[in-house]
Amino acid sequence: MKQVMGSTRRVYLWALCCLFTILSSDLALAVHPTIFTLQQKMEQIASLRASIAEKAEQGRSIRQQFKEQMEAIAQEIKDEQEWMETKSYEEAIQCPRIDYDLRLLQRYDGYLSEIDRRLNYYQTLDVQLAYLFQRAEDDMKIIETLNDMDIAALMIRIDRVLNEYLPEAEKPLIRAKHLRLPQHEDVWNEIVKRY
Amino acid sequence: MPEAAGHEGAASNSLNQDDISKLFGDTGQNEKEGGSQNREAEPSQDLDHGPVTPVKYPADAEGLGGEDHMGQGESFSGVDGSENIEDDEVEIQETEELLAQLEILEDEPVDDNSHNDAEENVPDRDDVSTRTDSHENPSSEKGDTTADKKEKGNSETVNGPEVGDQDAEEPEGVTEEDEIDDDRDHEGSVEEHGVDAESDKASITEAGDPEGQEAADHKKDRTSAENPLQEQKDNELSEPNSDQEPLSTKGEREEDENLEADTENHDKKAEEEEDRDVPEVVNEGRQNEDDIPLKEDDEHVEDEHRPKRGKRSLMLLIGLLSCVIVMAGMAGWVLYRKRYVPESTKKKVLAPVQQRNVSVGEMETGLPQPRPSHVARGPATLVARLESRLQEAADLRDELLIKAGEIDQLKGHFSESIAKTEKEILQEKKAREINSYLQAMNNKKVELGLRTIQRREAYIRQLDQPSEWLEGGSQELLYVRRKTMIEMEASKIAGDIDLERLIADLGGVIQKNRHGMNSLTVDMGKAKLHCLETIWTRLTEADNGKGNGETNTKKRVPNGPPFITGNRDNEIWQELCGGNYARKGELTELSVPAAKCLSRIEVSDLFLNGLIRLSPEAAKHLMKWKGDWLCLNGLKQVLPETGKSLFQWPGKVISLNGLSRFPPELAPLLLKWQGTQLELMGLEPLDDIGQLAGIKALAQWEESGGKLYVPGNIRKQIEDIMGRSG
Repeated sequence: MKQVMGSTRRVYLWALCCLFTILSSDLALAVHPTIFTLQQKMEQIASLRASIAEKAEQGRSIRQQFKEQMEAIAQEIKDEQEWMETKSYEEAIQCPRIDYDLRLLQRYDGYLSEIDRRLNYYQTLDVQLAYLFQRAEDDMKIIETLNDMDIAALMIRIDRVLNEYLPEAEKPLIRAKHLRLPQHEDVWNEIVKRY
Repeated sequence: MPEAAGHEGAASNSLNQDDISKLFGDTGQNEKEGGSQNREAEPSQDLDHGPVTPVKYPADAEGLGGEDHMGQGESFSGVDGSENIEDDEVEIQETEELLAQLEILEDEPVDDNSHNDAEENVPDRDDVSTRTDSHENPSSEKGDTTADKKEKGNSETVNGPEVGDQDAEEPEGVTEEDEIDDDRDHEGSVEEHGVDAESDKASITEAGDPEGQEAADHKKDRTSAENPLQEQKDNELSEPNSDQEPLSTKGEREEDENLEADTENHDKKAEEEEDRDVPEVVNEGRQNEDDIPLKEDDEHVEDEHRPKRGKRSLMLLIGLLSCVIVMAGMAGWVLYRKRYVPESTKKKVLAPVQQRNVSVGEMETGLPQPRPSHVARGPATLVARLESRLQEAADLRDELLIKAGEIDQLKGHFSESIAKTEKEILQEKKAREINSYLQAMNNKKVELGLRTIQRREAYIRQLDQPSEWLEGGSQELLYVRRKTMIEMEASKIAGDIDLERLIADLGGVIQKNRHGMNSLTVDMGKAKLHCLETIWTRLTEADNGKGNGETNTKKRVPNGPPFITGNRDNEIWQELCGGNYARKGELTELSVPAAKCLSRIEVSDLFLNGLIRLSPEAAKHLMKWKGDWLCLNGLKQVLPETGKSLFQWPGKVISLNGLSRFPPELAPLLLKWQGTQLELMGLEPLDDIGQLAGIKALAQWEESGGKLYVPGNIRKQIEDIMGRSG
């Protein structure tokens, strides 16, 4: 009986040894969990940056397009003004073309302002994300070398930034309802001033 | 784990069971009855509670549950095997005392109904347990007591000596409780289902099985029917066991010494005995081979069961551990595959990070993909509808412009008709020598002519309204179309832009303008007719030398176009606005709409040599044409207002070879022109001061870098001027 119990114990021990060996080899094969977490965060940051960069690029492209169209419309107003030989705003808006063109310029101006505001915001965000990415990269290198480092504070900060800005990836660059259109007469005065 | 210890205990307990059988001849019967009765109540119990009836036993009061079996078993097996006969005797004595108590209890009447009826037992489960605990329920007591007796004896006999070195009392209690539990479960599973008795849980489950209940009922019936025979069999089985008691004790004592050597012999013996007992088991139909050793020699029982159960346990353990190890290995592999990112892959993943304009789609992350454009975001049909509306608006605007052109054409027709009529009236006036308005009104031809002029002038005035409306409609359509295109473009980056609303807005404007165009009309009821006398006076004044009739007619037309073109020009103009520029050179006069249409032509050279006059308004629009060479050789004169627009044209070459003189008013305008070449091959050498001033301006312009083409005599004059100035 003693022997049987002894053999049972041996079996237990053998099984436990096997289990620990396998688990330890698994852990050894797997990447350091901190590095893995950092990599995930870095990928998230990179993805967010890429998304924002793409949006910003699209915004810049549309901004340039709007700018050129604004110039053409302004030139049209100027031609109409010369043809009508009007000087005052009151006279000018009697011409439907001038009136409509001024309205179009209002919209262009509103869009350009909003695009500029958002592009500035994205630029700031990109700088912040680049900083966090660089810091995470540095910390990862240290962990790879020294096997340990306290990254809790960094992770909290990254999470906070990601939680705050990840929704930006889903949002459109600008909101039409946020447009602030300039006054009709101010647009006219700007054109008169320019030409 | 608990089952191993339990079964070892069960195997070793058979000796005391024999003692019990010896003491109570009907113990086997009662045991079976009690066991069956007990198990009859089990199905109604919760599976968690059924087998854990150790709570009902006194030993359980010490806090030793089923989970402690392994620990207890281990503690017993870990105890040094030095035998203590005195302890054995004490324990046997205690067992006998307990058995005596049981004997007293067994003598009490048994209420079979209270245990046979499962439905009754369900609500009374706790009561049964309580009664079992307190030994108040006779029937339960019987079963439990029988098991109690059996297991107490077993545990005391087998484990008592081993525990002897330890605390004399506590291990006993533990042993009794654990082994009572295990053996009871074991018996239940064996007797009811004949399945493997090694698994307590299995027996628990089976005990709770309705089939087990039926089997128990069946067994009970059979037991009741065959009671005498069964008793006899039990006695027969009990007697040899009691005879072998000393051997068992002896074998127990020698067990540790000879275990290894005897294992094989024991196996053989056990097999032989098993074979020998098979008929009995078959006869009973409910007992399997695990039951047999309980009624046989203890030594044989131990020898028979220990290796088998040990082997089974070991096999089970090994199998279980193998499964765990394999699963752990697989899990580890999965973890490894999932977590481990090779350096090359890592670089691939992180490389785009350092680039700013990276495709998000290449990143395998859970981040949402940005919306590329409104085309991808909105349904394609929506965008297609919007574009269709935009095209519809453009088409409608063209229709409005054409309609406006038609109205202008009509006005021109009326103007020409008025001019003809005026000529006819003046001819009649000359022929009839009509000098007063009264004379004119007496002449029917003159009177009707005047009324025709009156009516047509009214038409022209009334046609101004639809013309203006069409102009407004075309501007509105242009604006809405442009605005919609802005919104469409902005929707690539902006939210809150409702394309449906844009379609609706555009549709509304289109519908309004189309309806307006279809319902264009001239309301002559509201038209104000000029007085016939005024018309007559105007005619006579024009005839008296204040200008030719055509010019005067044009000036008289209120709100009319400053230059009314002929039918041919109108046809050409319509062609121009329709995109057909083939006959542009045949134009003699250029209206404003025609100039607008012509300014859109995309050619480098524009030859309009048929033009004999060019109004300042038409010139303004014509000069918006973006080309290199503009030929206006049909013009005989250029008004200063026209010249203002002409010399602001951004092209390079202007041909004005129809001019016979270059008016000095154009001189300052020419000097501001940014063109490179001016052709004036029709200039005539005149000696008037104005011509000389014009030639002087041409010389200055040429001196500033322009290229001037003039006739030889003019060239000579220019050289003379330049020589004098030089």
